[in-house]
Amino acid sequence: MSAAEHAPDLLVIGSGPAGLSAAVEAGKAGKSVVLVEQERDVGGACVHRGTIPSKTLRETAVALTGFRRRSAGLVPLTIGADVQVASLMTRVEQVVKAHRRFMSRQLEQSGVTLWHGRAGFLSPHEIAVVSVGGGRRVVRPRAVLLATGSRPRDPDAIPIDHEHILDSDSILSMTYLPSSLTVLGSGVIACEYATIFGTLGVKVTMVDKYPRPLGFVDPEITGRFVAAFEAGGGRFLGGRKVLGVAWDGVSAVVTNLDDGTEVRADKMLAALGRVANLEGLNVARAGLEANAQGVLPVDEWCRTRVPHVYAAGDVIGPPALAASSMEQGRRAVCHAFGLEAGVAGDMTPAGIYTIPEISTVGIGEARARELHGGAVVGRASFDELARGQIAAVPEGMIKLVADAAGRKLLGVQIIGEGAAELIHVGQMAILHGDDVDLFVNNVFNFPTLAEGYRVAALEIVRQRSATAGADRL
Amino acid sequence: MTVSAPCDQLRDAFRARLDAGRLDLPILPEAAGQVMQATSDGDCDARKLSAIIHRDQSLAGHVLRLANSPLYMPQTPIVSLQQAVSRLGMKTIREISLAITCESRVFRVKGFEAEMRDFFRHSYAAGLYAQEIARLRRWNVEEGFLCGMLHDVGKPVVLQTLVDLASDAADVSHEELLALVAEFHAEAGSRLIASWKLPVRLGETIRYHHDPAAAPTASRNALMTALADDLSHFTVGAAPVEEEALRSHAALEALNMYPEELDALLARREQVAAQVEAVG
Repeated sequence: MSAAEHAPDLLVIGSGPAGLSAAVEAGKAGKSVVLVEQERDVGGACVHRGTIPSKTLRETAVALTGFRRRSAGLVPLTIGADVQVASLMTRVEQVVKAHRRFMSRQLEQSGVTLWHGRAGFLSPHEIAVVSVGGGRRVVRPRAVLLATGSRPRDPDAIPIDHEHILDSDSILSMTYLPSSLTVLGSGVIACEYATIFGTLGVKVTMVDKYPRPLGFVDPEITGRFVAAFEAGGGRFLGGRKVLGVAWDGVSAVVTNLDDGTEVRADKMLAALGRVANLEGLNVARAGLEANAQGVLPVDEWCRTRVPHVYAAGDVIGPPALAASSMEQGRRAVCHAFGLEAGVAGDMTPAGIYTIPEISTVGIGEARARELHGGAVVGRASFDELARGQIAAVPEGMIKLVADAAGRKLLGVQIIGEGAAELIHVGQMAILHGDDVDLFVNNVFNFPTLAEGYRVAALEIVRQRSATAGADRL
Repeated sequence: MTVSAPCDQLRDAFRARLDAGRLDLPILPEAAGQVMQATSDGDCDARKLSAIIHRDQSLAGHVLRLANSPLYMPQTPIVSLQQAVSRLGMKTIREISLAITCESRVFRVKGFEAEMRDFFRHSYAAGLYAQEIARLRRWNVEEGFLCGMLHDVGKPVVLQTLVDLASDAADVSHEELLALVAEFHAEAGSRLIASWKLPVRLGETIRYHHDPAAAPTASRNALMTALADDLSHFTVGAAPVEEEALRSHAALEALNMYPEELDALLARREQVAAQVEAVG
């Protein structure tokens, strides 16, 4: 082991979005970096179990539903139960390979040393890295970044066996498409998988203790989401407590709810949150401990209470998005080595890859009323837009939230095709401090869904004018 | 071991049989009895029948064969026992099970009864271990079980065929016959799976479970099965594998299995042994 490896400037543990971004940033700045990854390939759960595989499957589902709608039933197109899941994800290996190639090239160009093994603190300044074969190395890095990510929560009451009752790490291991699926939970992961499998023809029942899914999203948007989900054959059972889940030993996972409902399905997905991967890191030996939420507390530079130890990504809790994790990793490195980090953006959009897609930025209507003493809202339904009609995406909507005067844009919520892309228009307007008039006074391409910004802004302007008119009277 | 001339002749005869694709998978008399018993009354216990199918390599193989046959015409291949049970329903599985017990040959391998029992016990234990490895790695558990369960499906096929062929060659020793079983079982098993039109990946796993690196597309499953194979030998059977050998198993690194994960598998030894004992 070279001196740089024995005492690198930075040791990064975990090679997901946060770890990779940090390692590359530090390497490019000329620092000696060792990146430790316990899996055989870099990328973390995002590449191998989460974002990339699920979005690849989603693409198939989106293409299928799009074709079905646009052909208006001219070409009968169904996917029966039993279709091999792998056949719906044929591109995933190609996508992962390309991503891996890109990541490896970045690490190589940045001079990052990659170690395959598991790392754990021996003391605040010493870390042992154990290889899969049991070999052990001890390093004394100048700075450490913990980016070990998270894993699905495994509630005691749900007997997850990864065979009949799966979690979000094992759901894509299903060899064949089940005919029915119960989804426990109604957070982002639950809703994404529920709609993907529902679109592929699986009879999906989503169950949660909360009355509506995606609690952090505007109720008007989630209302449309539930309507679209149920119109596609799904069932949402909100406000129900799960009394018990059991495999019947033959062919069904049986879920009993507190209202007496019994839900039977071929398979179950338990998506009831995630927990930070801290086991094995021996963070106590570094003088660290998780907070009540089970994540590591950090400051605005992602520094823990131990000055040379930083943490980024899912291991520090929400928002736990790949994009924000990358930025956290980068900022941690900038702080650790005194590099210019730029002003931190505080306007992170949320992209939820359900079908239909949902995306939000800024604040919602209720929060705007709380903070600004009122709000003026404008909506554009996709079925009012030529592009929405052409694309046959009637459930879509853009909702703009302006301040009480009906001028300053405070938030945007979108449901429908392309929501995660469309949101950036609103994000830029909010960041720039613009009024909704920006959308009225400028020309959009025709026919596009982005035209919805103009339609929604016009509605706000009309309300503003009506109020002003009433005041004059 | 010096090979006798009759053994060489028997090898040639078996090779000819193998190349002609004339292979048959007999079932154990006990398994046939259990199926008959479980299906005999009107209130066939679905859970019991499903359990019987899941712990017997011959029954499992035959259920998959029939579930994929033109008789039941699945829209897409049935690739796991659970899928067969879910899709076809227990009424059909009951029919299939009865058909298997009626149409299949029952093993007649005089002098090899103990080995035959060992084959089945070993396969069941390997299935249980393979599903645990799959569970740990978050791979498909049903597929893992099937790979472990059927990895040696060629052994009873080869042994029964050799015993049939050797009836006129009494000079072939017990050891020589078992050596031929060891030599041919992987190839025979994979050919059988191919002839039944079961998934290529399963056939490849069976073919290469002693040489996972050579598997063209299923090396991951072959590695998993190789480790499950030795964990099964560690747990049941006459020729146990030592724990030390498992700790330096060639598959561990390729499967990215850290020492604590192997510990978790080793800790299941008593449970797996008990499950195998429960079958008898």
